[in-house]
Amino acid sequence: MKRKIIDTNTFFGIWPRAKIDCSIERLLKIIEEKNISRAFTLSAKGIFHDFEQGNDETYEICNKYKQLIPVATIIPQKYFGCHEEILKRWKQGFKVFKFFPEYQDWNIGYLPFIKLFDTFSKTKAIIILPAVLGISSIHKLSQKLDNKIIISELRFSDMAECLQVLHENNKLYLETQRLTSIDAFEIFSSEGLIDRLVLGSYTPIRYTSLSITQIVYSTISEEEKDKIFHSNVNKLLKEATI
Amino acid sequence: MKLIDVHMYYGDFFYPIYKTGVNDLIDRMDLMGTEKTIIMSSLAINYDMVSGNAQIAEIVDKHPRLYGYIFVNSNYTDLALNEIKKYSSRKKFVGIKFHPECSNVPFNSPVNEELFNYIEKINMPINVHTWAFAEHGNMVPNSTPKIILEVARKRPKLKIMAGHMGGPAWKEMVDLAKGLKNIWVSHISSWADSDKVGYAIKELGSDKVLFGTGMMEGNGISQLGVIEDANITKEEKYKFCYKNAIDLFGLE
Repeated sequence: MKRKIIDTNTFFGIWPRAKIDCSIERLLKIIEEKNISRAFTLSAKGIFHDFEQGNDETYEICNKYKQLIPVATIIPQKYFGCHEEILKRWKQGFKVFKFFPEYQDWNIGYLPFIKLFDTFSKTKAIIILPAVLGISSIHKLSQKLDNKIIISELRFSDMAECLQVLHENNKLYLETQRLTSIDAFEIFSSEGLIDRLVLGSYTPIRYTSLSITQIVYSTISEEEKDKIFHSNVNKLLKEATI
Repeated sequence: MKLIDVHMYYGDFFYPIYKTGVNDLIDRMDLMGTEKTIIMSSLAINYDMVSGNAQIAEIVDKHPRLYGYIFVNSNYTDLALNEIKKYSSRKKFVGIKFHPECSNVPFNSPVNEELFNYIEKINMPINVHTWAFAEHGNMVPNSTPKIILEVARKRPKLKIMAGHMGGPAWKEMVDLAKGLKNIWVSHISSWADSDKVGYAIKELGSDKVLFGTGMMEGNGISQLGVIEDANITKEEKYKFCYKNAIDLFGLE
């Protein structure tokens, strides 16, 4: 039986930092080949150059290809227009906002970023933040609002911190791509935290199958796998409505 | 004082800056008394090489005082070579811009060999971003003085201008470049230790140091203070601010 998969981490556009075909055509081809039914995506232009233009591209592409779920991004360093952009995109139908400090040289204590949470609190948007911001710091910051937060780009060395914050904070979710320790999924299962994991792959920059196979070959139940592959994130998307 | 700015960006950055249009750029040149400027595209450097270079082509064609760099992203060398071939025969393009940190490819990477071969043939100077450490989230540095100078030593026919002069590593840049005939430096960075221009001219020679502003990302006006304070002679100032740019980039 074909498994339903939602990938929370894909890109399209141009990838200026490596030689990669990041075209929308390639993304769509990979999604089809890997039996991914839906994918969160955003234009890389929003990361590296101009978030408003990037979000426009994302909106246009996701309107054209219904298997794609638009993700907006904001570069807090721009200062001008950031709060307005959140509300504009939320009203436009974007349910997910993602940040990329790892490419933009800012950190968790960056006040222009922290202040965005005042605006996010007026929405039910899902926010995706990379672990490089600090997992415990994200936990503390999340106490300012009710929005659900997915922490991405985790490493297996982050496991203890992940387990601790998930037990403490039910607004936090984890993307699974780099949870590559040998029994990570079994541990989350035994800790009763499978409901808080969502699949992400960083396609097409990284291998898509890496993220999928580590779940397929884990010894957690099929029901638990399905939660990670699609039902957890589906639930989040349903909650993120105006 | 006659001025040529060899290091100006055109376009938006993701910082709060009001004035990034071409008219703003010309206004700034007028304010500073800059006769000519060589511009490069922020769009090309940060995201889309082809669209960014096309923007520059359109602008330099319209504005007699503006000249352009062809930006090349070393991740896409086929495309990059096409860009060089497309624009290098145009009179208003006078240099090639590499930004190894924004492309995340070391300047001394073998992938650049084909580009260097072609650039040597057309004898066009390179302006390469040069900095002390990895930037923009990169784990490994791509543009340190040592990396840049390795290429300069290996390829004596290549004319290389080390943009930013290594930033915080400006002294290392100058010390290591001493004696190399095919290296020039541009002093521009957002701060300027005293007396890095004087030191560079003393060590490398008065023909080897060029003036740039880093506008419209940075404020070029502050660089007038560098000219004022640099401990150099009137003749050296003339070369630094003007003549060396004419000579290196063949400006008319």
